[in-house]
Amino acid sequence: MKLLKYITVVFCVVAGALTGGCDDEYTDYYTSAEVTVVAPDTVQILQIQGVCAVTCLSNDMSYQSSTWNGKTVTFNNVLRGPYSILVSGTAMITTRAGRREVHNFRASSSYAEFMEHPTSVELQMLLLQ
Amino acid sequence: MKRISMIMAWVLGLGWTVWAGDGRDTIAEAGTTLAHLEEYHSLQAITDASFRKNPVQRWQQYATNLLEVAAYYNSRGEDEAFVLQAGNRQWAVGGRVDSYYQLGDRNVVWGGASYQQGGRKNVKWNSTSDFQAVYPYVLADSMGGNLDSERYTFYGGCATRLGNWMIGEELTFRAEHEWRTYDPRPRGIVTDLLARLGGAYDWNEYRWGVGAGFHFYKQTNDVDFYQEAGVIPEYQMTGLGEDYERFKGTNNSAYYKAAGWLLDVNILPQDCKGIWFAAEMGLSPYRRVITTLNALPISKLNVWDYSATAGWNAPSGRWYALAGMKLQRRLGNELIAGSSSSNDYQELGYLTMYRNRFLNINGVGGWNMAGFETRVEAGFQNYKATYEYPSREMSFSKVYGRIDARWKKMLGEGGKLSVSGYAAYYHNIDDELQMPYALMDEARAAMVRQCALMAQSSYLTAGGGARYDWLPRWKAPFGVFIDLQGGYRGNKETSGYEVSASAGLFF
Amino acid sequence: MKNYKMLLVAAMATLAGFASCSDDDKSTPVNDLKVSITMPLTVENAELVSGTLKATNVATSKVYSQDTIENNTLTLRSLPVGVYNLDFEGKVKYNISINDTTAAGTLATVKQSVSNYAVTESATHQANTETMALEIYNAKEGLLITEIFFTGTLTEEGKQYIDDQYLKVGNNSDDTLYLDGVAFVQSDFLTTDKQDYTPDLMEDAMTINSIYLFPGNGQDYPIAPGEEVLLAVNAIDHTEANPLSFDLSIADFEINNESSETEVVDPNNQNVPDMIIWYQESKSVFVMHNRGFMAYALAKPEITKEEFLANNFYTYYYKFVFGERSFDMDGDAYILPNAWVIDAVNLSVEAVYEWNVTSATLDAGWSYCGKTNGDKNRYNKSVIRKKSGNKWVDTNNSTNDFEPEAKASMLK
Repeated sequence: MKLLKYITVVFCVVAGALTGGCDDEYTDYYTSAEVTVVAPDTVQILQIQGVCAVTCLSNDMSYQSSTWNGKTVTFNNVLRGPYSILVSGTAMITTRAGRREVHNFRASSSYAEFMEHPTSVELQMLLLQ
Repeated sequence: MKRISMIMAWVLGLGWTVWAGDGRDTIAEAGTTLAHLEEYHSLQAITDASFRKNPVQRWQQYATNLLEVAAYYNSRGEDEAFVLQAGNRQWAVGGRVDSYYQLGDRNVVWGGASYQQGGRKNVKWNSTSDFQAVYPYVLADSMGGNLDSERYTFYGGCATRLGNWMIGEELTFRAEHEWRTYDPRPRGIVTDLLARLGGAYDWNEYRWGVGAGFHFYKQTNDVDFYQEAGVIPEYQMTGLGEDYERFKGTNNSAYYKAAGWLLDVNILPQDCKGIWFAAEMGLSPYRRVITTLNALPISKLNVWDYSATAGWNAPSGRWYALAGMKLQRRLGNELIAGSSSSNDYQELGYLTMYRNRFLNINGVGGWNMAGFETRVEAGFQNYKATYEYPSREMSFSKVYGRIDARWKKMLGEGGKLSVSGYAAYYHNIDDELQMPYALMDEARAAMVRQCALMAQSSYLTAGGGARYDWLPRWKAPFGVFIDLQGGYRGNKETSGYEVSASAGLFF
Repeated sequence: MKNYKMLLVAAMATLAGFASCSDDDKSTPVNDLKVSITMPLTVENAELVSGTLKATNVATSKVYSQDTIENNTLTLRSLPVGVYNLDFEGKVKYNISINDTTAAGTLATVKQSVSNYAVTESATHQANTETMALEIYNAKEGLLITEIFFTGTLTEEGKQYIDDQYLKVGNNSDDTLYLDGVAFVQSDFLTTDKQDYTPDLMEDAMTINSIYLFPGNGQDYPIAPGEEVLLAVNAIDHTEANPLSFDLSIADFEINNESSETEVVDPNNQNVPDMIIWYQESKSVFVMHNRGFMAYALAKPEITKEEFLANNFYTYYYKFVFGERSFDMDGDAYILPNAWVIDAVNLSVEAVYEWNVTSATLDAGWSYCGKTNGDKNRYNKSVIRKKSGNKWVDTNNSTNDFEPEAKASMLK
């Protein structure tokens, strides 16, 4: 009888406690992502001005940033998932001959995974003549 | 149809065997008397039956046997749908068989089957069957339409006593087919199987039972367009108006699968008098798989159900009371799909984007007097649904009160009339709606607003009906019955009705 | 004996364990948002002359705006914490250097957006800051060139007939746009003749030899989302002159030239509105290069015709090399700032293609009818912009965006 009493109470408590556990919950929602523009071998980037736009392929939400830290833009707190990236703007460069020039440029990627903590992506710069 | 005929024959055959093979002499003892029907139809019996889900607790649920065969018609209609995704009109016509029979002192069997055809009208933003089971992960479009349906069910169970021990088992099966005959043409085929096992031990005037169950569910769901010019995008809805943008458009073929479980514990007095307790919890994990994307499991919905009730049945049998709670939690996990190669997507992980909780706490008191019974209920409901990003929330709280009354009278020789009525008012005391309207198109925003408006409104329901059973001595043990019920439901936005009619025979 | 106490304990234990639900109290703290506007590095002496910053709260759709600019910064004060879509629209004044002593001052409408920006609370009362980098080109306004028919048709005798050239303009946005004041231009340079022009203004402007504006006072000529209008070089029924051609008297607009050559008369359909001529190089009638060696564009000038003609004229210089001999050459044309260009299309032919005559930011590719110079198979064909669903494809790359050598739509 004592054993039965014990089992009943324990079962009830465990049943109640189970409400919080035994659940597939995935709460690692956000990460930060750094997008770095890489220049062609023949030039050196001095300054970049422009917009980096990242679009989450899952829900079509996009984020833009024009705050450059050198050649890198950082997005804090973006939803983890697959993204497309488009960078467009202007860059001041020095050529191999030492000449300073300003060009429009683009860099893009149709697929990049923002999954790690943090995520880093490098994009090849396309200088537009 | 052939399968249904077999099931009906099995159940009717059982009943025939009972009647034909029973060794009792008097007509009055051979079947069920009108007075004994009360233990099936009284308000207390209906309340009590909702807690006897463990098959062992159906032992001696009723003192008498009953086999009932009926044809029925149900219909409901609203000006504007209370639930957009369920439509504003629904009807069903069908036939059913239900039986409960004691095989001697050690065994009780019960079983039934039904078949119905029906339909819904103006179903919007939902191209999936069983919306209440699998929401929010449904396929949807902005056009909607009417649906036809066909459903058959059967159930059967048995409880056996072995000294102080008892074991019970029960199987419940439902198959349903829903479709539309014009574009967009959704088609859903559902199979739903629940198997329950229970064990109990009689001790200290109580029956201490535990049980477990297994739930197997499958639904195939697709939407076709026969006219190329009229193809509209189908959305993979993910909750509170959000959809999985990446896979919207023409991924119109999917299936759901769930293999769930449940556990229950119940402590009921052997003589049905005194305090009692029943609790249950279970999990149904529905996976939604897109077949056009090489069986991509786009979402996993974990539906947790919990209930716990404690009650008291007075020794006099005149009154009873109970207090309980029911909680349902839904956790929606969305797939993070990676790069694709020929429609074969990588699975990078999941995110729990959707959460939903519905809590109902209530207290009930009932009184039985000669020829009249009443039941009052008061309760509290709290609902909250959230979507992680972009952030969305819909919630409400309601308090409610309900009263049921039933009056019964024997009429003439072999006739029994029972008239019942109810009224309930659900008062909304708090609500919240947060949506990223700036990111939503007009149609989607309107849908969410409409759903919230209906969910967060206070509403009144009331209704009543009558049932007439006729079992004259010269017809015993076969009796006939007719049952007519009607009801009203309305809030400040809309109102609706529901009617049901059934007629058949019993013995 | 019924052990009520134990049963009650069991019930309470179960009830106690179930999910607790506590709702957080919601309050709405506020914070300031400072947005710094930065100019592209390619633009000289850029000055932000005016602008309005709007922040739309994603949850409430409430819009907060600010148009006071201090040191290229706009500050929105006391924004409720939340997620916003930021939209900036303004006007930038800058110069396009033609040579050491001459610059064309120009005004450009600029826009920039940042979506899903989170305004957060700060314990130290520090304002949120954001940078918006402007781009001095607007080739994403919604109006697109959707078809260029420049090859002409063939007569029954097999001779070329090029009076039936036309252009189609479509609205690729979700809003009604207006053609009033939109310009149609032709490039001066040839995509088949690459020269080192000085000054080299291509990154800042398109060198053009003809510019025609759609008439209207602002909202006289709407174009609904998804609609197209037909601009005919000659809006007449060409089947009368060439039965193998088609009827362009149904055109929405026509180019009616003021020919100074008295023997060349440009037919004028009185029922079809005429384009307003700002400048045309031809002294007689306008004709598109029928082998497709030029670029065409739509633009929205920000200045008047008089200002344009006075300020945007320039002379360019280049060396024409022929064998071992070279000749100093020059040419006169007008510059159309890239900032005004809505859509540009380079046309060429594979066998003789040398370069694009617009900045790659306007058009990174080119399209064609014909594979060789003077290809006899090019007639009756157009370049037609592709469609994806009910939208036109627009990646600012005519190689991707257009279907080359398509049958002219007026012949279908």
